[in-house]
Amino acid sequence: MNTALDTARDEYGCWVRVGSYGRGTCPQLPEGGCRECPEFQVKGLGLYDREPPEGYAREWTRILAGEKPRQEEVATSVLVFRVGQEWLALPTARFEEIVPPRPTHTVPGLHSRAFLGLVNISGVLLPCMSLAEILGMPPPAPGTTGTGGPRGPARMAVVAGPDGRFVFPVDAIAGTHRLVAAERGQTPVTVSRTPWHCSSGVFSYMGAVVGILDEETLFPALTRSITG
Amino acid sequence: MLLLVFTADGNRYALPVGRVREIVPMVALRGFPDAPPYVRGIMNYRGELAPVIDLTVLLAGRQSRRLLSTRIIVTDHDGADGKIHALGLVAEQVTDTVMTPPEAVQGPGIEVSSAPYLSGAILDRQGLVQVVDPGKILPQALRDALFTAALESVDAP
Repeated sequence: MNTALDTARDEYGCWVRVGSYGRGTCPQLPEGGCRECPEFQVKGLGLYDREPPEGYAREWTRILAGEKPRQEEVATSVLVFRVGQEWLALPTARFEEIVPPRPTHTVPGLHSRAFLGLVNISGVLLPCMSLAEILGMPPPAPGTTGTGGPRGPARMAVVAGPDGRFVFPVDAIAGTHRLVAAERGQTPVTVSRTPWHCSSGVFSYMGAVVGILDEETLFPALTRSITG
Repeated sequence: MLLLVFTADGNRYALPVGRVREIVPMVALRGFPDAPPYVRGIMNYRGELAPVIDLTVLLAGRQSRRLLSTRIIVTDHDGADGKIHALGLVAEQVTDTVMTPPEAVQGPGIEVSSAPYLSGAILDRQGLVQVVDPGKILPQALRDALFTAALESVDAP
């Protein structure tokens, strides 16, 4: 499982395995993270000591000749991920951890379509929820993947809400995006196949339409889905 | 204060970030005939012509190598015309910053007239880092010449 990822990690070094860019379990991890560690300063930053790829200088000459992109003050960083066929986004600050998929332990007597079981996250058992169920998404048609946009390996996301922490499996993570108010569009009413219980709008990201999850309704919905 | 760290000839140097506008990759530069070796050329920085000075030439006597870690530090520079211009400073291994209280910057104890831009030094876990004052990198006479030349090249067809 994840052999390509493991190879990449071996190539890059300890900071993505056990350091502050990975699990954070390194016994020598400095308080300020890997950037303060001599190992990272030599090997990690040393990765930049290679020749730029073909056309790199030309590309940047063009970029720098243009206007500097204005960074709007009021922007929220959101993490963009895919569940089933839908691209979704939730504020990055809500995410505690993204981990490779791991076993889900079912709980006898407590099962629903939304509650998948318990997952061990750093020694703590957290409820694992199906976002597709909670959001009322249709079950994915067999053999289909996302509707365009970037791809990545499946992961489990650990999020923290006001009432506790939850885990949910995601099929891909696209990355983070600075979402500004001007990008937000209303959920199209014609998209009737998704009820979007917890949606507060949509935006376009790398060719895909991303639904913005509304924290105010998502976290209570997650809590409700376990208790009954 | 936050300082941007770079290296030249194995020695570490730091530049206060106060006047840094942006750190950008090395770009194609318009060459400058008959300019001193540390003048690498002029760049089009977001519509403004900016002279680009190679700090590695000043500090190590050779040009910065063509590597991803060689970057242009675009700084604010007080021009002789009383305006603030963009000035590009090329340096190697521009990959790190260091945070230090201003009082930790120690005077060098010696004034070297050929290198007035070395304004002091700090000590961190990895050793000594010399602080560069970007305002003193170029002699005044040369600064004037540089901006005059840049203007002429705009007028040229």
